[in-house]
Amino acid sequence: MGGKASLAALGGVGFLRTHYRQIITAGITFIGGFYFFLEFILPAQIGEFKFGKYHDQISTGVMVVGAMAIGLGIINILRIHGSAILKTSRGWMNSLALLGGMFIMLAVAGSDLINSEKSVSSWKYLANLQTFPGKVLEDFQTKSIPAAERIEALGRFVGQTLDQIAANQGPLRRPSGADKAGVEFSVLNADLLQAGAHALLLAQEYRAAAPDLARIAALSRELSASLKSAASAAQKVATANYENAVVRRVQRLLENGFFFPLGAAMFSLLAFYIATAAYRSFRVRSLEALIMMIAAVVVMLGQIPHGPLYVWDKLPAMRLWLLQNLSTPAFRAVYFGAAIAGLAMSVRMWLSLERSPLSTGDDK
Amino acid sequence: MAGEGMAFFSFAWWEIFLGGISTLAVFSFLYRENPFYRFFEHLYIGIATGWGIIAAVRNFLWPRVFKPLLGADLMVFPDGSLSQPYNQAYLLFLLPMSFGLLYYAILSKRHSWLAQLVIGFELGYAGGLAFKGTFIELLPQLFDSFRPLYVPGSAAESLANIVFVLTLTSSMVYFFFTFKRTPGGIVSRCSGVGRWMMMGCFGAFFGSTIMARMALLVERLDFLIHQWAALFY
Repeated sequence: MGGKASLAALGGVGFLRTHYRQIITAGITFIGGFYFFLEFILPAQIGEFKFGKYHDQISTGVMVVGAMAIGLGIINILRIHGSAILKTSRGWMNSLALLGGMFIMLAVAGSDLINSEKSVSSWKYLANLQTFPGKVLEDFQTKSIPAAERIEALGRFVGQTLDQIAANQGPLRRPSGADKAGVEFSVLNADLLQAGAHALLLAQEYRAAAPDLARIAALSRELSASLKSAASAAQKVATANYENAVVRRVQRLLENGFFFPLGAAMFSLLAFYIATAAYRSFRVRSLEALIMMIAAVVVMLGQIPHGPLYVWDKLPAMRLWLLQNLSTPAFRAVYFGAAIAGLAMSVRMWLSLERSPLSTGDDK
Repeated sequence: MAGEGMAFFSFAWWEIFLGGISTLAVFSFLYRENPFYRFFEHLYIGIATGWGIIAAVRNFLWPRVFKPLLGADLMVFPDGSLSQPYNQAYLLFLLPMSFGLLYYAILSKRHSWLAQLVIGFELGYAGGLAFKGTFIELLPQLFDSFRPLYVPGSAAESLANIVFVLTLTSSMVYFFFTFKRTPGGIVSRCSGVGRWMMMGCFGAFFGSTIMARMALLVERLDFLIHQWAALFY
């Protein structure tokens, strides 16, 4: 008797736990859509309050939640195909190809991403640096912040960049090959040397007992101009180096050797099967089949720009008329129904009336 | 010809060579399902997965989340000062990131219900967003569908509009099951016209699809004949 009571009590606790979990899940599901629902129905501004002020940040935040599932996909692939390889079960070589392809692409495209970021930041840094002399001058005049050390730091940075270039290191190294980037490399060197010289003169002027503000302003402008010109040349040099890097070429090899041709061939393969489907569909056995065949033939022949199958110059206009006045409204009729059904389904999911996506064995 | 002037066994040479092998591997399916095809099919899935993951990082996670979160978009001037102060509000991204980690609870039998929270949240988000998405797409098409049946001075445009409205209404009636359809009745006849119009629409779609696939096939065959085969002569 006591045992039965204990079992019943445990069952009751289990039911309550499942029930509360369902309530929490339904609540979070509702919260997930509530902001976007309000954002749609409420006006953009209510009195002083601007409702969509942080819309981009909130949207990004919600997308981040979904993006976290990327790792889950990798884990699942590893579990399925990893176990196939370890057990050497049937088709394990295919699993090896899948995992090998994925990891090689991850490594190569990941390295390419890092290289791309380094390349862009190298010239963007120089481009942004052109505002620095003006900022130093402004701080010197308005806040009396000592300027000489700051300009000397800029001069040191320019010197370090030149040292790196001389050592043929980093994204701004001399591009290989005698292309246009080689000329830009010489311009970059000259601009950086000029910027270094201007920085030296500017620092000396700031250190003077009675700094000449007009000369400082002129030197600041010249320094900014040198940095701007250097940034423009650096962009071309860094881009050339990035495009010619081994990682970039391997990435292109994977894309042009496997990814794009395999994708295009997979889709073009359907052309053969669609031809047999066309044969079956176009056998005129009813009025509907006849209408379908005429429409398809007009659209296909109307899309041919020239050649032996270019049979009549009115066909392109007929094709367009058919697409605009027959295909569009018929598809629109289907779409209206599907959109309303989709909206109804979305509301059911949002309000947790549609539980199938979240159902587990516990729900029953 | 692609083969002319191309250094033997250079990166460009390998790109074309492997592209041709990949294309032939897929076309080998036309004979029958074979190990060569299966191997390249799996390779494609693997490469596409890796490419997709990096594309998500490159286009979204790095520039819009991690870069501002880590302050990597801020510029440190040579004197150590920042171009602009770090915006601590970006730390709030840690909340959705932590919440998103609940997806991994699905791997544990005991805590798998926690994954339902985040799946539910995403479903709710999709549901809430559907209001805006549906109406933004639906309403302009709805307004555009109310066309004048008589356009003064343009019989062609009037005819086009009549056909448009007739096709739309009759196709909608085909999916309209509220009234009982009696054979030979107006709803039944209208529904029949709608079926013909939709057949015309499906035929047009079918024709467009065939042409799109044919364009891809022609491109592949052109590649094989003029670029890949050119490597060998």
